[in-house]
Amino acid sequence: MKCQRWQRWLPLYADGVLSPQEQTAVEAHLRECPTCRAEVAFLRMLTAALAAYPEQEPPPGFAAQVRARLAAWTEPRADWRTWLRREWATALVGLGVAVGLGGGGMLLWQQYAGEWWPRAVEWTAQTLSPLAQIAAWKTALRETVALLAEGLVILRDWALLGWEQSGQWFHTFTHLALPLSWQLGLGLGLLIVLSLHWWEARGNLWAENQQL
Amino acid sequence: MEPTDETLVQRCLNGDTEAFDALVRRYQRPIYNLAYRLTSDPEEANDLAQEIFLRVYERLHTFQPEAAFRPWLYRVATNWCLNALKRRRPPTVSLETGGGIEGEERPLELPDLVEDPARLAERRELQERVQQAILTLPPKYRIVMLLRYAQGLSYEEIATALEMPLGTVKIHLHRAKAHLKERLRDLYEAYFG
Repeated sequence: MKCQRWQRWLPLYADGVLSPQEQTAVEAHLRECPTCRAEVAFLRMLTAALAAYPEQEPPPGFAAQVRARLAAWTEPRADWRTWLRREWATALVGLGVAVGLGGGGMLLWQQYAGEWWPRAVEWTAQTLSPLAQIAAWKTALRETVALLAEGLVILRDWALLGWEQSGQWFHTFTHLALPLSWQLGLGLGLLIVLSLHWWEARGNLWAENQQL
Repeated sequence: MEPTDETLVQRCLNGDTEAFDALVRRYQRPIYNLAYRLTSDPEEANDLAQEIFLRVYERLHTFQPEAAFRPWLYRVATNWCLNALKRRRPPTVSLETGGGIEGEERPLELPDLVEDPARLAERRELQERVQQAILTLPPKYRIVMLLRYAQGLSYEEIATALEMPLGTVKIHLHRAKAHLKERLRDLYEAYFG
């Protein structure tokens, strides 16, 4: 038990990090105490064995592997300019299709909308019963809201993914945005047709009331 | 004349990838060995050492130019290793045999070399036995022991690397050795007790 107070000094002594005075004090104790001498011998053996453990060679090509991983890691992330340089033909076709569809749609609208629109309103009013009209209107409204929400989700994903995923924009456009806009257009169309019809019917009713 | 570590770091920060390559080649051996001694698994050590260098590259902008590079490198390395060791399961090591040498199942036979611990430490099977015992230490003690005795860092350098007070380094070393003494009790009693 008398060695207890020396216990904390022994590892430092074995490591050679004590001050000269401390070292002298420990050595004076060691001369008298075989237990502490054995302890120091054990500590020296332990640390010498750790130091003498053969060094391992890093695997061949270690630095080259780090270089390769680093190159892959620091490679500039694909942005829309990179994508455009690589996929310029796809972009050109996409642009052509968009212009064609847009232009064609505008021409068709100009030519036929004047006749088509009132006819659609009239057809709806004549074909559907008032209850069916209400149900259709509700369905169209619900669908429109749902589609708008879906559109917002897509927009949010685009915003969150940022340019990193922008190489996918054409795919997203053709597979998600375009079908969605068609559906959205139809839903909204039905909604507008029915609303116009009701507005017209309300106007007629009001006119009839006035006459009465 | 070889450029200093700090010069190479500055060149790295200016976008010179060759300079980082030079740093990797300069420190690949100690860092790989640290990872190897911590895990005793060549493949894991290779992966760990590579990740350390990637981490170093990532953190290079936080290096203070007036500080020494080596302790900073060890700080990044030890942080990364400690996190990696926390994630993996503890190794299963048999302490009853001569260690991890292939086909060696007999108990360690040592001559009476207590008077010369350095000569005793030259024995390969004893080194292996100590290395296996090191793997049973908690990671924070394991890393301090290896930094001190396998990598030859001073107490001050370890304190810088691990961002802990000098006193804590001494305490960790003391506890690690006490733990190892327990683990190697048969050895201790046979030759030193």
